[in-house]
Formats: sequence, structure tokens, C-alpha cells
Amino acid sequence: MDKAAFQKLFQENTKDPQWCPGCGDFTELNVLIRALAELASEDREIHKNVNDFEEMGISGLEAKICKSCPEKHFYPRYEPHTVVTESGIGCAGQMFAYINTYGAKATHGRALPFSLGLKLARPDLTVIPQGGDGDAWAIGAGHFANFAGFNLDITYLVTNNEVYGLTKGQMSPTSPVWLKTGVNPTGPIREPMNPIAVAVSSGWTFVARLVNVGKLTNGFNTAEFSVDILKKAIKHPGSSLVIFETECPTYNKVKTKEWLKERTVPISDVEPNYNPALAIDALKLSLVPEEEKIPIGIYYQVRRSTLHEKLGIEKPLINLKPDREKIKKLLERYS
Amino acid sequence: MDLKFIVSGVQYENGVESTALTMVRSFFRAGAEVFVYKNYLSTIHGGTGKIPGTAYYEIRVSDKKIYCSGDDLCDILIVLEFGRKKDELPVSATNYLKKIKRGGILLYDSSLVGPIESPDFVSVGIPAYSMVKEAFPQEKETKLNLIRNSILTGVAFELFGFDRGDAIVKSVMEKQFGAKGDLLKKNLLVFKSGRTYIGDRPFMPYQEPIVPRPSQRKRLFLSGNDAMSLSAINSGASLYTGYPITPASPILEFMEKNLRNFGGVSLQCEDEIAAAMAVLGASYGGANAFDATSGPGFSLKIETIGHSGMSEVGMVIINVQRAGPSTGMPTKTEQSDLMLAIFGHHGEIPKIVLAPGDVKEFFEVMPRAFYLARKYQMPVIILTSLDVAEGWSTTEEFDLSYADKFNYDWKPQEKIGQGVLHERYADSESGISPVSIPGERDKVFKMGGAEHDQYGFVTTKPVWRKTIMDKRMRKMKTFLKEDFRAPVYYGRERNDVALIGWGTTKGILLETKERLEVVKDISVGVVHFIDMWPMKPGVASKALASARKVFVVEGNATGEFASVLRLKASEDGFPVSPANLSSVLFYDGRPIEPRTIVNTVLGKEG
Repeated sequence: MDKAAFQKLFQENTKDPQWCPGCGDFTELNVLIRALAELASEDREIHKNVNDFEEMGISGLEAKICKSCPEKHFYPRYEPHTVVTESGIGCAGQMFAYINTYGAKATHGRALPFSLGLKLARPDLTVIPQGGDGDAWAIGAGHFANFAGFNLDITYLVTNNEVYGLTKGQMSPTSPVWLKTGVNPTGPIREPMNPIAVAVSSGWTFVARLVNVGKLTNGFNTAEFSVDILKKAIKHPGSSLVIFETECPTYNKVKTKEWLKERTVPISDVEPNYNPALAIDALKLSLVPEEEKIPIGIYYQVRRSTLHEKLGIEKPLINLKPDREKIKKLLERYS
Repeated sequence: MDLKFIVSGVQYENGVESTALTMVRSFFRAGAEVFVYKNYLSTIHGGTGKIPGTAYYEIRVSDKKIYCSGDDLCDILIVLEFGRKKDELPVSATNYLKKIKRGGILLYDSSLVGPIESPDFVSVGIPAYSMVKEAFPQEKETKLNLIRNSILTGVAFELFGFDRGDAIVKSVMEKQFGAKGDLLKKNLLVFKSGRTYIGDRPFMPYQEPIVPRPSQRKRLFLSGNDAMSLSAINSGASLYTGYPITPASPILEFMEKNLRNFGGVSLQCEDEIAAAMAVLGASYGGANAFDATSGPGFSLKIETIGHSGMSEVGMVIINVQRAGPSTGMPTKTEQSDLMLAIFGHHGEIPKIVLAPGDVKEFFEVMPRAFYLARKYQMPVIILTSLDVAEGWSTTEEFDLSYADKFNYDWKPQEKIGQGVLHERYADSESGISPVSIPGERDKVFKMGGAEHDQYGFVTTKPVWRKTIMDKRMRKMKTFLKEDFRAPVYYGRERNDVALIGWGTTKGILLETKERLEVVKDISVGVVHFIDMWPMKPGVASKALASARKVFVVEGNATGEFASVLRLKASEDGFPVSPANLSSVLFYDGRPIEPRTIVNTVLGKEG
């Protein structure tokens, strides 16, 4: 199957998005579908003539362990039945219904802990938790900072439109002080948080920031760039965070598509010799005021052992058969 | 022989736990039945304040079958606390002297205090600390303090008449201090000097000596929390996520120590919500995952439990109840989360609540919980409580193959519908729909906490809402038909009195029954509920119909279970009129004493 066929497949059996016209969530959804379609078709191509697979040995699950690639992985891994798109609550949290993969929706703010249990038990799945800025950084803030240290191999997508949409225009943790909305005419009373700085300093091993506004005035294609970076994020072994800067045409009248377009610039244009392995550079870059510039690309990327690597888990934690002799040994302590 | 003693001292300073465990392990090895109830503080160190914080272990030893740690009174009080002034009683002595039965014994270290005299009990003061100081002048103070306890253990054993226990004590101490080494040698030495010390003094040994009776059957001596943890591993649990909370932390500790060795994983999460959500995620992926907590943590998990009911992804949550409300009394016991477990969620969901009664039932509940969570695709909540969960008791050896009676593995199920989508929430007579898990081809569905159609897509259409809601709730009826276990009845066919209880009061009720029958010649039937919800109380009919008085005994202030019984009584032919259910309640932090129930029964009878 080629890229186009997969793209079509990922759009089958889905619901019509219930987002407002021009909603920034569309931009993320399009990028996600394209990235998965490319990854899936590339993966098929690479493994076309590969026969060296090891069975997982769990009936009903057909993914196998590939023995021919340098990095150990499961195959297939990017197809509708091996991907779980999983979200919290909010406008962005509806995405799981608009893409043809297994879909799950946790409670508000809990996409990450849900994926912790899921991915830990199921290393064969590609798990993509996802949500908006309120879900990720207000009600889910405790998880955002703590989850990263596990370096679980998932890719967390956050659409950052800096306002609560579904509940009709309340302030979010990233709302700038100058943002005024109908329900909050004076704007937020607190300074916005800096999610990239928090992410880099709390252990996320891949941090990227993207904007999908089509072509910039200089011809730079933000859509293609985003697809490329998102593919890298999904492939990155470890906790990847991808922030999509998006517009909320209904409640954030400032951060419009045009506003984004004017400020978006690839990191390489801001810092020609940017090295994403250096946390201190990422922190510095994260401090650039968004009113001036929105640098897009990979802010931070390091390779550290994933949770599965640390624990030595190579297969799903399903149908475990505990060694009864060992249990008897444990029981000796009590006799 | 049926002996009750208390070991008390300053928490974290006097070695209360290790001394108590040396003793009880020795009795257990000698063939005795043992129950331990830990009474401790929710601080770490008891010794820093002006008034020391004390902990005490209540230990009951018998050569007959016993069911609980019994009444609050003791035959012997062993005070490990040093005391601060010559003429001032150690705090733990002041606190617990009144617990000594008339004619009982007080054993204490008289190096710094005493003598303590009383006409009510025999007072045995041993200058234990002075003795070890003299024997090991070079030893560090902190070590001497603990070595000293072995003298008191020796004296206690002599007082108990436990005279053949030396070889057993040696093997127990070897386990405790390591087979070789200085510490073991010194402890054994002073233990023996304790024994001979008492031999030269005019104290009478306890009237009914502890005689070792090597049992024919293999037995175990362990805490409820450990029994449950072991059982979870034995039942194929592959993921444990938790957050530290008294008194459920021992489960987290057990899992952290052991689950990796069996191919699973235990993780400490950032909070209670994350721990529950991770269990839900893993269960959605097909794993047997679980999480244990106590009241405050359980409150935080309620939203996740509601999600589990709505999204029909079964999950297992243990609540080791402690005294609430709010922070309550973290190290004290209670049974006050029943209403929360049954009704504590917004909206209405199906769920199963189980309350095992003793260590054996703690072991048996886990495989069944995994099985029920998988079969019925709804949350399964296990309610235990601090007294049995943290307490230690003797029990028959576990039958590890018991778990195999339950079908808790994941297996592919029937596919419903065309194309890649699977009708994961297809309506059915039983309410149960065939599950799929991610990774299965052409069985894609959506799961979530929002109301949904057969594929899991969000909908608010009244017809779907009603169909799926009815389907979900119908599973409760199916459970009642296929898997509900009637309460266990202990007693004759006709009885004067019936005692109804649930969960961890089981042992106390059985003890009460025995006392009323043996001493007062009143025939008693005990009805013990493990399956708490959904509830079908009518099954207890036969047992209750003849009883003139029916008491519901439970550890809370409002009679939660009695309310549940009243709620369900009319619809299910429950033979006792709601007005005739008398509640016997306890909520002072301790497990209720059998004598309290006996007195209540007699008072009402008389």
C-alpha cells in the first residue's frame, strides 16, 4: 500500500469533525494522518521482503518482532489496528474519533497516565496521547511534569491555542496576559506558563514545536515540515512532545492564522547552528516571546533508555504465567 | 491455652515490631495459632516529643482455632520503653496498664524506672538494659537498646512457660539477624540469660504454658496485604501502579520488590489518579493490572472508576479502609467506605464490590476479581481494612492452583459487524459485548467516558443512550445470576440470634458466636457477606428466619451496610423486617471487641 492509500485508510470509518470552521485542530489532524500514512507505507516498503520475524505468541495479536532491522521493533506498528490515538477532554480531545485507529479517551487531563498503563503493557502498539493546552498543562500538569521522567516511548500531541474552547472561552495556562475573551474581558491575572521550558527540564527526550499554516510568505511549507518532524517524533524512542501552535478562530481573536503566519520561522533561521541536544539552548529558545517569533522545529532531542529498555520488557504484558515454584519460594518466608 | 499479650514501646525507638515478630514467629513455628493486631502511630519516630509516641502490638496465641486478636485486655503487658525518670512510669505503661487482666503480669525494664507495684497484677521488673550494658561494655548504645529486647523475650518465654522453644527461637533469630555474626550471637546469649534470670526469682509462670504442638498441616503466618499481593502475582497480574498511602503501602512495597521477578512491572506514580488511570490503560490493552489504596486515594480514583464503568474496561482496585472521614486516622481501622464504593461516582455505572473476611479470603479474592473484571467489563472494587490487612495471622497453606479455577486470561472474542470497525458495545441479552483490544485487525473501536453508540463513537441520541445504558446496567443482573456468591452462613438451622457482618469483621463475629454459645448457651448464626454489590440479600433467608434478634455488626458510625440491606430488603424477600435490624457499630479506630458484641446481645436479650 502506498502513502495515498494509507491516507485514505486512516480517514475511513471516522466521524465528521465537530470543530468550528477554521479550527486549528484540523491542522494537527491533517499532519497526524499524513505522518502516519507515510510511516505506514515506508514501513511496508522496508519490510516487503523481510521474513525474519519472531511471533509474540499471543493469539489474536498479529504484530511480530522484526529481527532484521538494527533497532528492535514490532511490525506492523503504524497501521490502523496497531495505533492507539488517545486523548483527554476538550476540543482537541475529539480527535480520536476522526482518525481510523483504535481510539481511547481518558478523563480530563489524564491522557498521559492512561498511556502509561497502555504502552507499558503493550510495547507492540504505537500510542499517541493527545489533547489541548488546558488538558495538558492545567488539569493534567502534574502528569505532564512527572510522566516524562519514565521516558516511555509515546508521542504526546498538544494543540496550543491558548484558550479553553469547548467550555467557551475561559483562560488556559498558556493564555497571554493580553488575551481578552467574552467570558474573561480583563484577561488572565496570571503570567502564562512556558510548556517547552517545563518539558525540557522535566525529562521529555524529544520536544518539538510546530505550526501548520500552509506556505509562509517566503515559500517555506509548514505542512510538509510538520509531517516530517512528527514522523521523527513518533519514531523517537522515548517520550516525545509535539506542540502544535494553533488558532481558535472563535475564542482567541488575536492568535489567528495570519498572526501565526507572520511569526512562524524555522529554528534554523533563528539559530543557524542550533544543537537540539543541548537543554540550555532549548530553554533559551523557549523564552523567545511569541509576539515576536514562533520558532518551529525540534527544540530538544536526546536518546536515553526508554522505560521498556530499563525494565527489559520486550513483549506485551498479557496472559502472564507466573512461575509457581518461585511463588512457593516467596511463601517460605511465611512458614 | 489462649494467651493475649501486648508488646509496647516508643515507636521506631524500642524495637517493638522486631521483638513482637521474634516472639510470634516462634509461637507460630511451635504450632500455635497466632493473631497480631498492629496499633501504631501515623508519625515515624515516636521519641522526639515531650511525651513519647508509643506503638503496641496485640498478640493472641492459642493452641485452638482462633479467629481474631480478641478483646482489648491482655494477660501480659511487655513494656519495652525505658522510661525517663526513676519515679515516673513509662508512657506506654501508663497507657496500657489498665489493659492487664486481673492477676495478669506486667513485664518491664527496671534499669531506669520502678519498681512499679500494683495489687491488680504481678509486676516483673528486670534490669535488662543494665545487664546488657555490663555484658557488652564496648557495644554502641543504639545496638544495646535492641539487644536488650532479647532478655525480655527470654523472660517472657519463661513466664509463658514456653520452655521448649529455644531451638525455634534460634532459627527465628537466625532469619532475623543473619545466620552468622555478632548480632545473632549476642541476642541468643542475652535471650538465654533472660530465661535463667527468671528461673532464680520467685515469679510464677503463666498458668497455662505454651506447649509446642507441631501441626500436621503446613501453615502460613502472614499479613492480609501480603496475602493479597502474593495472590495477585499468582493470578497473573502483570502491572501494578500505586501511590504511597497508609495502610495500603505494603502492597506497593511488595509489588515493587517482587513483581519484576515474575515478568510484570510495578510503578509508583505521581498521584492516585495517575495510578488508577494507568490501570485502566493497561486493562484496555488486555493486561491484568491493579492498584491498591486507602480512603483518600480511593476518593481520588472515583472518576476513573466511573470511566471504567462507562467505557466497559474492567479494572481492579483495592481499598484498604482506614478511619475516615478526610485524613481521618490513617493508622486506625474502619469499614466506612462501603457507600462510597457502591454509590461513589457521578451518574450510574455497573460495578462489583467484594469484601473478603480473613487472610485466606484475601488470597482467594484476587483471581476472582481479575476474572470478574474481565468477564463483566466493569470496575471490581475490593474492600479490606487496616486491622486484617496490616495484621498478621496464621492460616492454612495457600492452594496456588486455586487461581486456575478462574478464567482471567485475555482471549480473542467474536467479531461483530462489517469492515474494520468492531461493535464493541453491541447490545446483548446478558449486557456483555465481545471485547477487542488494540492490535487486533479489523476490530477497531473507540472507548471513552462519553456516551456512545455500538462502536464507541460519541452520541447523545436518546435511543442510543437508553440502549447502551440499559445494556451496561443489565450486566449487574447477569452477575447476580451467574457469579454472585451468597453470603456464607455459619451456624445451625435454627438460632436464637443472628449476627450479620461483611468483610473483615468475619473473625470477630465467629469469635463472638463461639463465646455466646459456649459461655451463655445462646445459639448464634453468623451471616458473612463477601459479595457486597450488586446485592441480593434474600439468599440469607433460611439462616435469618428463625433468629429472634438480628444484629448487623460493622465498623462505621451510620450503619452503612444495614442501610444497603434495608434498601434491598423489600425487592428480594429478605426475611428480616428493616425495623428489626439492630446495628452494632464501632468507629473508635479499633476493631470491635467480641465482648462488646456479647454484651450488646445479652443486653438486648435480657
